[in-house]
Amino acid sequence: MRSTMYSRMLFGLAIVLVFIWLVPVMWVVLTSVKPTNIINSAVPIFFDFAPTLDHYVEVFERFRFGRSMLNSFVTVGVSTLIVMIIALPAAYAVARMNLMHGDTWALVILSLRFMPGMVIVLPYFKIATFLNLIDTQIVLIVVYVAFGLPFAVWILRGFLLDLPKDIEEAGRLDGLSWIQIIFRLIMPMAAPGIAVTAIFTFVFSWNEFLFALFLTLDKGSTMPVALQKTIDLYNVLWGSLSAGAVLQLLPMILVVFLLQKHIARGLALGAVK
Amino acid sequence: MAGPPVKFHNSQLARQQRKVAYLLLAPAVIILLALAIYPLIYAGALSFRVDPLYNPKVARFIGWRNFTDLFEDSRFWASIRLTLYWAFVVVAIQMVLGFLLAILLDSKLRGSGLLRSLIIIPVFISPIAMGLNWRFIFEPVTGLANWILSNGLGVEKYSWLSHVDTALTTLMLVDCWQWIPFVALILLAGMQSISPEIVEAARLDRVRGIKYYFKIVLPLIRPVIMVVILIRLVDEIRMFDLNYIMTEGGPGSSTLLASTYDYTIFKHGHLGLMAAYGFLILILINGVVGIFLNTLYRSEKAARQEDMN
Amino acid sequence: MSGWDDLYKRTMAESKAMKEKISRRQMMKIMAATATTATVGMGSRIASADTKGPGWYTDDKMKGKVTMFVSAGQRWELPARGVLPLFNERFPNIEVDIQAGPHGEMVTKSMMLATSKSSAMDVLYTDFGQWPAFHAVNAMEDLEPFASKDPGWYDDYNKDTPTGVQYRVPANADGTLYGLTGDGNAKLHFYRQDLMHAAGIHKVPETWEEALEVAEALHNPDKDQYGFITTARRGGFAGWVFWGMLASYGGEWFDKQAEGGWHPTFNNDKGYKALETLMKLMKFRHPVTLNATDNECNTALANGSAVYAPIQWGTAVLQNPEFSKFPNDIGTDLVPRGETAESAHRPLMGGLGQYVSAYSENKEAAWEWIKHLNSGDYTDSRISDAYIEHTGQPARISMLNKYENIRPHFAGLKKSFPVAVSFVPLIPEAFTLSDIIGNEVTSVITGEKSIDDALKAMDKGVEGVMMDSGYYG
Repeated sequence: MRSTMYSRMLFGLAIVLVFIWLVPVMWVVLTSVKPTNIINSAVPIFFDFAPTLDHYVEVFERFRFGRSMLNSFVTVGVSTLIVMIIALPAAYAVARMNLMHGDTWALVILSLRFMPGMVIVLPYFKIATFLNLIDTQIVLIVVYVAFGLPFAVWILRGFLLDLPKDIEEAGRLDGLSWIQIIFRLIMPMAAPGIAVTAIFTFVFSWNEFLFALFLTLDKGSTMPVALQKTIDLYNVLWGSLSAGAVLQLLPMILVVFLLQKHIARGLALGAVK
Repeated sequence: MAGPPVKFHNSQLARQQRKVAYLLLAPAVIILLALAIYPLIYAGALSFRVDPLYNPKVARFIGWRNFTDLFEDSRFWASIRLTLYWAFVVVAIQMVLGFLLAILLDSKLRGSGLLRSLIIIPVFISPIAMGLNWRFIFEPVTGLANWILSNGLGVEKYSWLSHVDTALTTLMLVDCWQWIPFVALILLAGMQSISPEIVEAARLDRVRGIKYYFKIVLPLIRPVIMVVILIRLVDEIRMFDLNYIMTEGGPGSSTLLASTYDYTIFKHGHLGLMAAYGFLILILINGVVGIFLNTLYRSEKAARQEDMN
Repeated sequence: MSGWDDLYKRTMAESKAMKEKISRRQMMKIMAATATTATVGMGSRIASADTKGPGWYTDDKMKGKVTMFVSAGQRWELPARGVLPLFNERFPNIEVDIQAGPHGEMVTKSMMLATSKSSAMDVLYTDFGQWPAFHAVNAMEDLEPFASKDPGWYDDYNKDTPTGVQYRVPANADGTLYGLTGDGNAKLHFYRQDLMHAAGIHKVPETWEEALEVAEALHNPDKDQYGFITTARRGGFAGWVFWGMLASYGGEWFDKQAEGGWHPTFNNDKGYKALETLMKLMKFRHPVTLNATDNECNTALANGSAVYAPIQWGTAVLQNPEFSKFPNDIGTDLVPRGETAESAHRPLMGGLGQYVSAYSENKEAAWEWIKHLNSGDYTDSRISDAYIEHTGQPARISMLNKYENIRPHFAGLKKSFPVAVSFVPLIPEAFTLSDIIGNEVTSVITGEKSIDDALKAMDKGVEGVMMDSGYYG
């Protein structure tokens, strides 16, 4: 009894904390439905206005968010898929197989992530113009794979190290091949970790700005670049900026809600075993 | 109990396993090398040149001068010191508070899934939009932050981002706001991967509450913690977007972190100097990571060895 | 009686009438434009029988596609889109593709595009201060052969556009034309008429000393009212504030902008005086000043927390009733001058313009497009109307004259252009140098450095860049 009381209290605290945490985000959502003159008022106005969807119309009509959204989905979706397919075996090899210098390999993989983006963006720009790939989705997919892969391998490595050590031996006894072990045994057990890794790989590319800006012009530009267009030199179009931010956030929230189930299922599988 | 590399005693099996391991690793390594080698060579060559973006005609080889110029620049050293200070403070705060947040969220009550999905929003929201909105929120006269502080708590209005003494702290606050949920969620996923037998055993031993988390969970999720620290450390040393959008390194050079400084050099068009600085950041990160791995990783390995015996 | 209300009502009535003529899609674009800048009525927008000028001609034989890269948003992208339907009417077989990118990193990005020698862009619409850099990499097409084919138009353009913002090599009236300046701007003096009257000040300050008095008189931090604001953010923002003040004291970037010269001249009496005056004004600064770009400044002026901005880039947003609380009270004039004998009103000016890429495969059509974009009344008054209606801020004096009743700050621009100086020296290194001086200025304001040390550092930093670029042989 005491235990439930205690956990309820903790849970209540968590709710309050999450609410406070999200105040700035709510402010952005609120800004996105405010008329412009309310946004620019001298004192923050919370609810005393007639909500409008003008800014949402504006981001689609003027800033062509539809097109950018599609670009974002294609580049980020494809690159995340590629990253996960390549990263899982690599992470497995580094974490759970008796690899010579496994940690060194892991470090080599991570080291590309050490370089500041602006140093790398220039050579990529040169290659892309040379191959006539500027403003295409291919070049962004390549870059996002390059930058997503090290991160994914490392996060997955952590999760795989966590799994009980006798899985492989059990699989081997059942006559499973290595690939089967990875995809039939390891993957379901590490599902929460894989889901989390996939989400974060996705989100880093989803919000990536520097490469998206320099390697695209207008047609191939992704949402962060389209969003940046709302920042004029002389005034920020706060309404459109916020509306764009909300539109960029919505698919991510959707993804999380969808994967939430998988995370739960992964747990259940672990429990059955 | 954390899984060590599986050891097979049959040597033929071990050899076969190694072969498979390299096969599994190969695609990742090949792709990364293919994508990294040209940019690195390009940047390496650039760092020994003067190569103005705005006037490429005068480009030429100048030896080590870019590096010596940087070493003689007091702002460069200040930015390196500031970056290290920033990275260690921010990562420490994020790890401690992230762990506590993970404990709070590690609940089986209804709605906890929803809470987890909500708390992660700061990581997902566009840093550009949010960075600008933070600037808007911290606007001294009309911003939301001062409105809440002065109306709610009676604190005098203050210009958080335009004062040398508070700009960095404000940036830290925003960065922690964004990344604590990330740390918490990764740690949480680690916590939930702990095998049910252990959880059950702990329950039977009446180890619960804070004690359960610190005595049982913390050692078990150590590999995940190591990874999170490493990734946060690397990303905080490379910290750029928020810094650039919110203060661009100012006021004065009070928030001038290494990557932002490097970016301003890029904007100036000093491509050679930019590349040289980039390599110094690379070396800095390698140094920090090396030290980190040497001290903390060794202890992780030692712990693993202990587990095995 | 506020002229604005009147105009606003008239616009509303007119836009109703216009709706029938304009497709829904065009309407959305116009609405997007009005959302940010007051788009107020032009009597002439309802096309009268003959709007065409001497420069009007059509050509349906010219074919091809013209791609233009432009900064997104007001003043640049929107006016270009605004005059496009009329271009399509004149050249039905030329397709113009306007690609807009974020303004923030435009200078860096357009330079990378230019050096890549790509033929993907036929026209680049870029900052005035950057043209020398494009010229240095041979990215620009010589426009004289094109322009001289239509002497009537060329003559009109030359007479109407201030020489100081034209792009010519060398930079004088006889230089070779490499680009067309469609957009002009100058540092202006924004003040609150109502508050100044209330404080018993009935004259717009002429000198920095008078400006200081106004800043002090209007400064009332207890009521969240600050007497001075400017863009003192790190980098070029702060740099151009300082250079603007230095210019008004008769200062220069270099001893001589020619061979044998190029030695920076910040560390002298004029530099000291300019920085000292700026520091005095800083006593009355709005708290956001040190992190302020034009965005922050305009927001503070629009909501009334800042009431005086004597050195601020011209913009229509402050007199836009949707954005500003004081659209009728904010006046514009010339930037103050120094008090010394060498001082004069020397506001900074700049702007944006288009050039035809040397790598373009469709230069004739590209030329027709930028010529159309810059033709104004000479070709068709509907072009001027559409340009202004879609938030354009022209460099052409005739257009500033024609529309100053609905864009009050045009009067300030008109007054500034004849006496203005360029906001950067016309060399490829312009933006690099601006950032260097700006960073030293902010370090004085934050107390990191003394005025003397900062001026010395400016000279040293600028000299280093000039040395690397081979200016000293």
